[in-house]
Amino acid sequence: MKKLNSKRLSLIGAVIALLLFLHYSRLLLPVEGFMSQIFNPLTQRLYGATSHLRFFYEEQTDRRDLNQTVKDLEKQVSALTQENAKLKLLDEENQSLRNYLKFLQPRSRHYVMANVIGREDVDQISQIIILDKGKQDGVLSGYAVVNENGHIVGKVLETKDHEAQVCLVTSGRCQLAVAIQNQNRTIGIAKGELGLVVKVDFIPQSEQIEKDQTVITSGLEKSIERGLVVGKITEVIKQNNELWQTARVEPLVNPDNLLTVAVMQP
Amino acid sequence: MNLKTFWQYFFYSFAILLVTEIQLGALPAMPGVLAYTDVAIIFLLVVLVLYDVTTAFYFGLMLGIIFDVLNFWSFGQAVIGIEVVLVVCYILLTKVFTNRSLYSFLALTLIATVVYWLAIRITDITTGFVFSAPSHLFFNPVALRLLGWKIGLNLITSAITFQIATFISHSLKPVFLMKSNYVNR
Repeated sequence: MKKLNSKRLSLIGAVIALLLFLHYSRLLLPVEGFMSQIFNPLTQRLYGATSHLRFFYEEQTDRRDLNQTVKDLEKQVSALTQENAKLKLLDEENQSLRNYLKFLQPRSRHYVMANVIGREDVDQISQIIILDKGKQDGVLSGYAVVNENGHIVGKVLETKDHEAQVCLVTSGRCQLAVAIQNQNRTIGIAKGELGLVVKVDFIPQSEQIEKDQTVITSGLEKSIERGLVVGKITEVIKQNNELWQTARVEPLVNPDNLLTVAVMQP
Repeated sequence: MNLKTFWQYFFYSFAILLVTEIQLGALPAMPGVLAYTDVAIIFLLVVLVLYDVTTAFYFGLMLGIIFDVLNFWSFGQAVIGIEVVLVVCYILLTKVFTNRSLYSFLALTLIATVVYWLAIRITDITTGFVFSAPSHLFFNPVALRLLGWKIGLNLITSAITFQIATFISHSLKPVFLMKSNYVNR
């Protein structure tokens, strides 16, 4: 490596000192102006051209940030939707329980609240639901099951220690002693038909029954009290040569909406 | 002036113009921290190590004057800073480093970056004190973070520059010594 000549180093130092003197005494201004005129247009163009690169980079970065934001928000929406569904369910349950209290408390009835935990709709006709309360909770077979409005939903068929099988009123397996709210308080046996309606059989021909009359439980069954609403008569089948007449009753309960029910204890 | 000398000066002028435009035109518009790269310092180191000491000092003088004129900092800061860097690097190159490998070049870059940063900071604070201009604390966290970025970027740039230079010149040693290159000589 070549050695640096000390004379040259001194020369460089002297040049710097002279330049500083000329600059601060404003004698260098014309030269500085000239240099600026040469370099500035070039610098400006290069800066402009390179700026495009920066803009492109920043655009990409912004896009990446936005994508991340969208992903985060999607996750948030998903979590909130789940939470919202849970809250709606709780709200529904809360409303239902409040209605139960309105129905049950004034009459100081004995009851057990139960959640519907399953269905046994293998053939769409059997109309069986499973409750999470059983013998240990005081639920026994033959007890009436009602909804929040006090309408009878079905009857307990079988029970385990902590589970109960309930047939809905529209089930063919469900038979209820009922009374029609007409002048004579006509009694009969209600039985589900095809999982759709309830049929009341064995009504004497002499009884006056009409459409839209309300059918209630008659109280003749040991475990089911009188007055629980079953539904309204939609059709009366009466033939002169028959000994009995039949009424078709449409229940006021939609079994698909059942989440919580009350099991009425006698 | 003969033709060879003319082309030599033309090439020098072109190199200075190119480095000036990259340092003052292109780099400040670069995205992120790339703007902090000291291309001029690396260029001068390459000239110092690879080419000629006197030329490096003259180049330093020219670049320093141009930077001082075109920048809005106190006149003399750049030219003094650059010349101080070159003096320090020249001393290290003659007294400390025994060869011209990548490692010595990177070490030189690291020292040059720190020295230049210190020189600029010292002159900045001194002129601020003299002319009552607002000056910042010497070791504030922002300035130190900037120095960190500068060191990193300069080391990367100098490593790339060194690799390119080894292809062009035989004055530098490659990173890994190939046994076959030396055994049969």
